[in-house]
Amino acid sequence: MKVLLLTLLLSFSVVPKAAAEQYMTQEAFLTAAFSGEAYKKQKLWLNKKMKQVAKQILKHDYNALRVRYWGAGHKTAWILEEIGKERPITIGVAVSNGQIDRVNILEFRESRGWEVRYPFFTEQFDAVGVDDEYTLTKNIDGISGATLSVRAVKKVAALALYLHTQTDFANSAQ
Amino acid sequence: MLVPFKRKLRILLLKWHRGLGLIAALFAIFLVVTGIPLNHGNDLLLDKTPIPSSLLSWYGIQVEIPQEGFKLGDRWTVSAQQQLFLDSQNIGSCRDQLAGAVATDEGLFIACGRQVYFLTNEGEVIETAELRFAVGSVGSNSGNVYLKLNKQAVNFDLYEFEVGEVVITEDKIKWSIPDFLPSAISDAIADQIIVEDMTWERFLLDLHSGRMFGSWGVWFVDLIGIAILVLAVSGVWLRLARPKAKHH
Repeated sequence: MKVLLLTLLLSFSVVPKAAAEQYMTQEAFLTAAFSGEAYKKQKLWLNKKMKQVAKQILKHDYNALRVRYWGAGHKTAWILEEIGKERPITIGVAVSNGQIDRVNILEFRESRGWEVRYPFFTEQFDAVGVDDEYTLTKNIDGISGATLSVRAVKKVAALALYLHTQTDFANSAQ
Repeated sequence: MLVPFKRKLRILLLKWHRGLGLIAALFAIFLVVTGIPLNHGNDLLLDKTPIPSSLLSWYGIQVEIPQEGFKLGDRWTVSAQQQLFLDSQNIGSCRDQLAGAVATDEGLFIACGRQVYFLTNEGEVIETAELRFAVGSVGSNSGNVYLKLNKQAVNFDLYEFEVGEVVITEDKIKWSIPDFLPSAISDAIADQIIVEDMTWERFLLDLHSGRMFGSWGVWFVDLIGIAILVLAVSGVWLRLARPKAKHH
Protein backbone atom coordinates (compact mmCIF):
# COMPACT_ATOMS: atom_id res chain seq x y z
CA MET A 1 0.00 0.00 0.00
CA LYS A 2 2.84 2.37 0.93
CA VAL A 3 4.52 1.79 -2.41
CA LEU A 4 1.23 2.52 -4.14
CA LEU A 5 0.74 5.68 -2.12
CA LEU A 6 4.28 6.83 -2.84
CA THR A 7 3.82 6.15 -6.55
CA LEU A 8 0.59 8.13 -6.50
CA LEU A 9 2.22 10.90 -4.54
CA LEU A 10 5.11 11.16 -6.95
CA SER A 11 2.82 11.09 -9.95
CA PHE A 12 1.02 14.12 -8.59
CA SER A 13 4.03 15.94 -7.22
CA VAL A 14 6.45 16.09 -10.12
CA VAL A 15 6.54 19.81 -10.67
CA PRO A 16 9.45 21.08 -12.73
CA LYS A 17 11.61 23.21 -10.51
CA ALA A 18 13.15 26.16 -12.26
CA ALA A 19 16.73 26.87 -11.39
CA ALA A 20 17.38 30.14 -9.60
CA GLU A 21 17.54 32.89 -12.15
CA GLN A 22 19.26 36.17 -11.47
CA TYR A 23 17.69 39.05 -13.32
CA MET A 24 19.68 41.86 -11.74
CA THR A 25 22.79 42.04 -9.57
CA GLN A 26 22.82 43.86 -6.26
CA GLU A 27 25.27 46.40 -7.66
CA ALA A 28 23.12 47.10 -10.72
CA PHE A 29 20.05 47.57 -8.55
CA LEU A 30 21.82 49.97 -6.17
CA THR A 31 23.31 51.97 -9.04
CA ALA A 32 19.85 52.31 -10.56
CA ALA A 33 18.22 53.05 -7.19
CA PHE A 34 20.62 55.89 -6.36
CA SER A 35 20.98 57.08 -9.96
CA GLY A 36 24.75 56.81 -9.74
CA GLU A 37 24.94 58.83 -6.48
CA ALA A 38 27.25 57.63 -3.71
CA TYR A 39 25.44 55.47 -1.15
CA LYS A 40 26.46 53.83 2.08
CA LYS A 41 25.70 50.40 3.49
CA GLN A 42 23.69 50.65 6.70
CA LYS A 43 22.11 48.32 9.21
CA LEU A 44 18.89 48.53 11.15
CA TRP A 45 18.39 46.61 14.37
CA LEU A 46 14.81 45.53 14.81
CA ASN A 47 13.30 46.04 18.25
CA LYS A 48 10.25 44.18 19.55
CA LYS A 49 7.78 46.75 18.17
CA MET A 50 9.43 46.71 14.74
CA LYS A 51 9.37 42.92 14.65
CA GLN A 52 5.66 43.01 15.52
CA VAL A 53 4.92 45.40 12.66
CA ALA A 54 7.06 43.29 10.31
CA LYS A 55 5.01 40.26 11.35
CA GLN A 56 1.78 42.17 10.73
CA ILE A 57 2.95 43.04 7.21
CA LEU A 58 4.46 39.68 6.28
CA LYS A 59 1.83 37.56 8.09
CA HIS A 60 4.71 35.61 9.62
CA ASP A 61 7.74 36.36 11.78
CA TYR A 62 10.61 38.27 10.23
CA ASN A 63 13.47 35.89 10.86
CA ALA A 64 16.30 38.32 11.69
CA LEU A 65 17.23 40.97 14.22
CA ARG A 66 19.42 42.99 11.89
CA VAL A 67 18.54 44.22 8.39
CA ARG A 68 21.00 45.61 5.85
CA TYR A 69 20.08 48.50 3.65
CA TRP A 70 21.74 51.27 1.70
CA GLY A 71 21.10 54.96 2.13
CA ALA A 72 21.93 58.36 0.71
CA GLY A 73 20.20 61.69 1.29
CA HIS A 74 16.51 60.99 1.80
CA LYS A 75 16.58 57.69 -0.02
CA THR A 76 17.00 54.09 1.13
CA ALA A 77 17.29 50.85 -0.82
CA TRP A 78 16.39 47.44 0.55
CA ILE A 79 17.12 43.98 -0.73
CA LEU A 80 14.76 41.60 1.01
CA GLU A 81 13.65 38.04 0.48
CA GLU A 82 10.19 36.57 0.76
CA ILE A 83 8.94 33.12 -0.13
CA GLY A 84 6.29 33.02 -2.86
CA LYS A 85 5.21 29.42 -2.64
CA GLU A 86 8.29 27.43 -1.73
CA ARG A 87 11.43 29.37 -2.44
CA PRO A 88 12.58 32.90 -1.63
CA ILE A 89 12.30 35.69 -4.17
CA THR A 90 15.01 38.36 -3.83
CA ILE A 91 13.36 41.74 -4.22
CA GLY A 92 14.95 45.18 -4.36
CA VAL A 93 12.90 48.17 -3.22
CA ALA A 94 14.09 51.79 -3.31
CA VAL A 95 12.18 54.24 -1.12
CA SER A 96 12.26 57.99 -1.17
CA ASN A 97 10.15 60.42 0.87
CA GLY A 98 7.95 57.59 2.12
CA GLN A 99 7.12 56.43 -1.40
CA ILE A 100 8.48 53.71 -3.59
CA ASP A 101 10.95 54.82 -6.23
CA ARG A 102 11.44 51.48 -7.86
CA VAL A 103 10.89 47.75 -7.37
CA ASN A 104 13.06 45.17 -9.08
CA ILE A 105 13.12 41.40 -8.88
CA LEU A 106 16.76 40.47 -8.45
CA GLU A 107 16.51 36.71 -8.21
CA PHE A 108 13.63 34.30 -8.70
CA ARG A 109 13.81 30.67 -7.60
CA GLU A 110 10.21 29.43 -7.91
CA SER A 111 8.94 27.37 -10.84
CA ARG A 112 5.98 29.69 -11.44
CA GLY A 113 5.16 33.34 -11.05
CA TRP A 114 8.31 34.81 -12.64
CA GLU A 115 6.10 37.29 -14.53
CA VAL A 116 6.40 39.58 -11.49
CA ARG A 117 9.80 40.66 -12.82
CA TYR A 118 8.31 42.50 -15.79
CA PRO A 119 7.99 46.31 -15.67
CA PHE A 120 4.22 46.14 -16.38
CA PHE A 121 3.94 44.69 -12.88
CA THR A 122 6.78 46.37 -10.95
CA GLU A 123 5.99 49.86 -12.29
CA GLN A 124 2.64 49.71 -10.53
CA PHE A 125 4.55 50.28 -7.28
CA ASP A 126 5.95 53.66 -8.38
CA ALA A 127 5.05 56.44 -5.91
CA VAL A 128 3.08 54.03 -3.71
CA GLY A 129 3.18 54.50 0.08
CA VAL A 130 1.63 52.76 3.08
CA ASP A 131 -1.25 53.86 5.30
CA ASP A 132 -1.44 53.61 9.10
CA GLU A 133 -2.27 49.92 8.82
CA TYR A 134 0.89 49.36 6.72
CA THR A 135 -1.23 48.56 3.67
CA LEU A 136 -0.13 49.84 0.26
CA THR A 137 -1.97 53.03 -0.69
CA LYS A 138 -2.65 51.84 -4.22
CA ASN A 139 -4.31 48.71 -5.50
CA ILE A 140 -1.76 46.53 -7.29
CA ASP A 141 -3.21 44.44 -10.12
CA GLY A 142 -2.39 40.74 -9.82
CA ILE A 143 -1.17 38.34 -12.48
CA SER A 144 -3.09 35.13 -13.03
CA GLY A 145 -0.96 32.13 -12.22
CA ALA A 146 1.40 34.26 -10.12
CA THR A 147 -0.82 35.03 -7.12
CA LEU A 148 1.68 33.97 -4.48
CA SER A 149 4.61 35.79 -6.11
CA VAL A 150 2.49 38.95 -6.44
CA ARG A 151 1.56 38.67 -2.78
CA ALA A 152 5.24 38.25 -1.81
CA VAL A 153 6.29 41.38 -3.76
CA LYS A 154 3.46 43.43 -2.22
CA LYS A 155 4.44 42.33 1.28
CA VAL A 156 8.10 43.17 0.73
CA ALA A 157 7.19 46.58 -0.74
CA ALA A 158 5.10 47.38 2.35
CA LEU A 159 7.87 46.15 4.65
CA ALA A 160 10.52 48.27 2.92
CA LEU A 161 8.25 51.33 3.21
CA TYR A 162 7.82 50.69 6.92
CA LEU A 163 11.51 49.99 7.55
CA HIS A 164 12.39 53.22 5.70
CA THR A 165 10.39 55.18 8.30
CA GLN A 166 12.56 53.65 11.02
CA THR A 167 15.80 54.99 9.54
CA ASP A 168 17.47 58.39 9.87
CA PHE A 169 17.12 58.80 6.10
CA ALA A 170 13.34 59.16 6.42
CA ASN A 171 13.74 62.53 8.08
CA SER A 172 16.91 63.72 6.45
CA ALA A 173 16.90 67.06 4.61
CA GLN A 174 16.60 66.80 0.86
CA MET B 1 -50.89 -5.17 -11.98
CA LEU B 2 -49.13 -1.86 -12.51
CA VAL B 3 -50.07 -0.47 -9.13
CA PRO B 4 -48.51 -3.25 -7.00
CA PHE B 5 -45.35 -3.00 -9.10
CA LYS B 6 -45.17 0.73 -8.46
CA ARG B 7 -45.80 0.11 -4.77
CA LYS B 8 -43.09 -2.56 -4.61
CA LEU B 9 -40.67 -0.27 -6.38
CA ARG B 10 -41.51 2.53 -4.01
CA ILE B 11 -40.89 0.33 -0.95
CA LEU B 12 -37.61 -0.93 -2.43
CA LEU B 13 -36.48 2.58 -3.28
CA LEU B 14 -37.40 3.79 0.20
CA LYS B 15 -35.26 1.03 1.72
CA TRP B 16 -32.33 1.86 -0.51
CA HIS B 17 -32.83 5.56 -0.02
CA ARG B 18 -32.60 5.20 3.75
CA GLY B 19 -29.57 2.89 3.64
CA LEU B 20 -27.70 4.95 1.10
CA GLY B 21 -28.72 8.11 2.94
CA LEU B 22 -27.02 6.91 6.12
CA ILE B 23 -23.78 6.04 4.34
CA ALA B 24 -23.84 9.24 2.28
CA ALA B 25 -24.59 11.31 5.39
CA LEU B 26 -21.52 9.93 7.16
CA PHE B 27 -19.42 10.60 4.11
CA ALA B 28 -20.93 14.06 3.63
CA ILE B 29 -19.70 14.94 7.14
CA PHE B 30 -16.23 13.74 6.16
CA LEU B 31 -16.32 15.80 2.94
CA VAL B 32 -17.47 18.91 4.80
CA VAL B 33 -14.83 18.51 7.53
CA THR B 34 -12.05 18.20 4.93
CA GLY B 35 -13.58 20.50 2.30
CA ILE B 36 -14.26 23.67 4.30
CA PRO B 37 -10.64 24.05 5.53
CA LEU B 38 -9.46 23.40 1.95
CA ASN B 39 -11.69 26.21 0.70
CA HIS B 40 -9.91 28.58 3.09
CA GLY B 41 -6.49 26.99 2.69
CA ASN B 42 -4.69 30.22 1.88
CA ASP B 43 -6.13 32.13 4.84
CA LEU B 44 -5.42 29.23 7.19
CA LEU B 45 -1.88 28.93 5.72
CA LEU B 46 -2.55 25.25 5.02
CA ASP B 47 -0.54 25.52 1.81
CA LYS B 48 2.48 26.71 3.77
CA THR B 49 2.22 24.55 6.89
CA PRO B 50 3.98 21.21 6.54
CA ILE B 51 2.53 18.10 8.14
CA PRO B 52 4.44 16.66 11.11
CA SER B 53 6.98 13.90 10.54
CA SER B 54 4.61 11.37 12.17
CA LEU B 55 2.21 11.71 9.20
CA LEU B 56 4.91 11.34 6.53
CA SER B 57 4.81 7.54 6.89
CA TRP B 58 1.26 7.66 5.43
CA TYR B 59 2.96 8.57 2.18
CA GLY B 60 5.65 5.95 2.56
CA ILE B 61 8.26 8.64 3.20
CA GLN B 62 10.94 7.45 5.57
CA VAL B 63 12.60 10.32 7.35
CA GLU B 64 16.36 9.96 7.46
CA ILE B 65 17.53 10.54 10.98
CA PRO B 66 20.69 12.69 11.07
CA GLN B 67 23.77 11.07 12.55
CA GLU B 68 26.29 13.91 12.47
CA GLY B 69 26.36 17.58 13.35
CA PHE B 70 28.60 20.41 14.50
CA LYS B 71 29.03 21.09 18.19
CA LEU B 72 28.56 24.68 19.33
CA GLY B 73 29.46 24.81 23.02
CA ASP B 74 26.82 22.64 24.66
CA ARG B 75 24.53 22.81 21.61
CA TRP B 76 24.48 21.12 18.23
CA THR B 77 23.66 22.32 14.76
CA VAL B 78 22.41 19.76 12.27
CA SER B 79 21.06 19.73 8.72
CA ALA B 80 18.22 17.34 7.96
CA GLN B 81 15.72 17.24 5.07
CA GLN B 82 16.98 20.64 3.83
CA GLN B 83 16.33 22.22 7.19
CA LEU B 84 18.77 23.68 9.67
CA PHE B 85 18.44 22.88 13.35
CA LEU B 86 20.00 24.20 16.52
CA ASP B 87 19.42 21.23 18.81
CA SER B 88 15.80 20.47 17.92
CA GLN B 89 14.91 24.08 17.04
CA ASN B 90 14.29 24.66 13.33
CA ILE B 91 16.10 27.88 12.45
CA GLY B 92 15.92 28.00 8.67
CA SER B 93 16.56 26.19 5.45
CA CYS B 94 19.74 24.36 4.51
CA ARG B 95 19.41 23.27 0.88
CA ASP B 96 23.09 22.41 0.46
CA GLN B 97 25.59 20.67 2.62
CA LEU B 98 26.14 21.99 6.13
CA ALA B 99 29.70 23.30 5.81
CA GLY B 100 30.51 24.09 9.40
CA ALA B 101 29.70 26.13 12.48
CA VAL B 102 31.56 28.01 15.17
CA ALA B 103 30.62 29.68 18.45
CA THR B 104 32.05 33.16 19.06
CA ASP B 105 31.67 35.61 21.93
CA GLU B 106 29.09 37.49 19.86
CA GLY B 107 27.00 34.54 18.78
CA LEU B 108 26.84 31.40 16.68
CA PHE B 109 27.91 31.31 13.05
CA ILE B 110 26.71 28.56 10.71
CA ALA B 111 27.32 28.06 6.98
CA CYS B 112 25.23 25.92 4.72
CA GLY B 113 26.20 26.00 1.06
CA ARG B 114 26.09 29.69 0.05
CA GLN B 115 23.84 30.58 2.98
CA VAL B 116 25.37 31.87 6.22
CA TYR B 117 23.56 32.36 9.52
CA PHE B 118 24.53 34.45 12.51
CA LEU B 119 22.53 33.64 15.66
CA THR B 120 22.37 34.73 19.24
CA ASN B 121 23.45 32.07 21.74
CA GLU B 122 19.74 31.51 22.37
CA GLY B 123 19.18 30.61 18.72
CA GLU B 124 17.51 33.80 17.49
CA VAL B 125 18.62 34.72 13.98
CA ILE B 126 20.53 38.02 13.94
CA GLU B 127 21.28 38.05 10.25
CA THR B 128 21.51 35.78 7.24
CA ALA B 129 23.17 36.29 3.89
CA GLU B 130 23.71 34.42 0.69
CA LEU B 131 27.34 34.49 -0.45
CA ARG B 132 28.53 34.36 -4.03
CA PHE B 133 30.29 31.02 -3.49
CA ALA B 134 29.48 27.95 -1.45
CA VAL B 135 31.32 27.73 1.85
CA GLY B 136 33.65 24.75 2.14
CA SER B 137 34.43 25.02 5.81
CA VAL B 138 34.04 27.34 8.82
CA GLY B 139 36.75 28.07 11.36
CA SER B 140 37.61 30.49 14.11
CA ASN B 141 40.58 32.04 15.83
CA SER B 142 40.54 34.56 18.70
CA GLY B 143 36.85 35.32 18.17
CA ASN B 144 37.20 35.88 14.42
CA VAL B 145 35.32 33.79 11.88
CA TYR B 146 37.01 32.33 8.81
CA LEU B 147 35.54 30.60 5.78
CA LYS B 148 36.98 28.36 3.11
CA LEU B 149 35.75 29.74 -0.22
CA ASN B 150 37.10 28.17 -3.38
CA LYS B 151 39.73 26.43 -1.23
CA GLN B 152 40.98 29.81 0.01
CA ALA B 153 40.67 30.91 3.61
CA VAL B 154 39.00 34.29 4.03
CA ASN B 155 38.03 36.36 7.00
CA PHE B 156 34.30 36.95 7.57
CA ASP B 157 33.32 40.24 9.20
CA LEU B 158 30.41 39.56 11.56
CA TYR B 159 29.75 43.28 11.99
CA GLU B 160 29.55 44.21 8.31
CA PHE B 161 28.41 40.69 7.53
CA GLU B 162 30.54 40.29 4.49
CA VAL B 163 33.57 38.40 3.28
CA GLY B 164 36.84 40.12 4.17
CA GLU B 165 40.44 39.58 3.20
CA VAL B 166 42.13 36.40 2.09
CA VAL B 167 44.15 34.80 4.89
CA ILE B 168 47.68 33.84 3.99
CA THR B 169 48.56 31.73 7.04
CA GLU B 170 45.88 29.33 8.17
CA ASP B 171 47.88 27.61 10.92
CA LYS B 172 46.06 29.22 13.81
CA ILE B 173 42.58 28.77 12.42
CA LYS B 174 40.62 25.96 14.05
CA TRP B 175 38.32 24.54 11.39
CA SER B 176 35.08 23.02 12.62
CA ILE B 177 34.60 19.32 11.96
CA PRO B 178 31.42 17.25 12.24
CA ASP B 179 30.92 14.83 15.08
CA PHE B 180 28.46 12.05 15.93
CA LEU B 181 25.25 13.35 17.41
CA PRO B 182 24.05 12.22 20.83
CA SER B 183 20.99 10.01 20.32
CA ALA B 184 18.80 12.36 22.38
CA ILE B 185 19.47 15.16 19.88
CA SER B 186 18.99 13.03 16.74
CA ASP B 187 15.72 11.62 18.12
CA ALA B 188 14.46 15.10 18.99
CA ILE B 189 15.31 16.34 15.49
CA ALA B 190 13.62 13.34 13.85
CA ASP B 191 10.34 14.47 15.46
CA GLN B 192 10.78 17.98 14.06
CA ILE B 193 11.65 17.06 10.48
CA ILE B 194 9.20 18.25 7.88
CA VAL B 195 9.05 17.89 4.11
CA GLU B 196 8.25 21.29 2.61
CA ASP B 197 6.08 19.97 -0.21
CA MET B 198 3.99 17.91 2.17
CA THR B 199 1.62 20.52 3.50
CA TRP B 200 -1.69 20.24 5.34
CA GLU B 201 -3.39 21.41 2.14
CA ARG B 202 -2.02 18.41 0.27
CA PHE B 203 -2.86 16.06 3.13
CA LEU B 204 -6.48 17.28 3.34
CA LEU B 205 -6.83 17.25 -0.44
CA ASP B 206 -5.62 13.65 -0.58
CA LEU B 207 -8.06 12.72 2.19
CA HIS B 208 -10.90 14.64 0.53
CA SER B 209 -10.38 12.98 -2.85
CA GLY B 210 -9.68 9.53 -1.41
CA ARG B 211 -6.24 9.57 -3.04
CA MET B 212 -4.69 9.01 0.37
CA PHE B 213 -6.00 5.42 0.22
CA GLY B 214 -4.69 4.67 -3.25
CA SER B 215 -6.72 4.10 -6.42
CA TRP B 216 -9.37 2.22 -4.40
CA GLY B 217 -9.90 5.34 -2.34
CA VAL B 218 -10.53 7.40 -5.46
CA TRP B 219 -13.03 4.79 -6.75
CA PHE B 220 -14.72 4.73 -3.36
CA VAL B 221 -15.18 8.50 -3.44
CA ASP B 222 -16.58 8.15 -6.98
CA LEU B 223 -19.03 5.50 -5.73
CA ILE B 224 -20.15 7.79 -2.93
CA GLY B 225 -20.68 10.51 -5.53
CA ILE B 226 -22.85 8.13 -7.56
CA ALA B 227 -24.71 7.16 -4.38
CA ILE B 228 -25.48 10.82 -3.74
CA LEU B 229 -26.75 11.10 -7.33
CA VAL B 230 -28.98 8.04 -6.81
CA LEU B 231 -30.24 9.58 -3.57
CA ALA B 232 -31.11 12.80 -5.34
CA VAL B 233 -32.95 11.02 -8.18
CA SER B 234 -34.74 8.54 -5.91
CA GLY B 235 -35.63 11.33 -3.48
CA VAL B 236 -37.24 13.37 -6.24
CA TRP B 237 -39.06 10.33 -7.61
CA LEU B 238 -40.33 9.29 -4.16
CA ARG B 239 -41.56 12.82 -3.55
CA LEU B 240 -43.33 13.07 -6.90
CA ALA B 241 -44.77 9.56 -6.84
CA ARG B 242 -46.07 9.86 -3.28
CA PRO B 243 -49.48 8.15 -3.01
CA LYS B 244 -52.32 10.60 -2.76
CA ALA B 245 -54.01 10.77 0.63
CA LYS B 246 -57.36 9.02 0.69
CA HIS B 247 -60.31 11.22 1.59
CA HIS B 248 -63.10 9.63 3.58
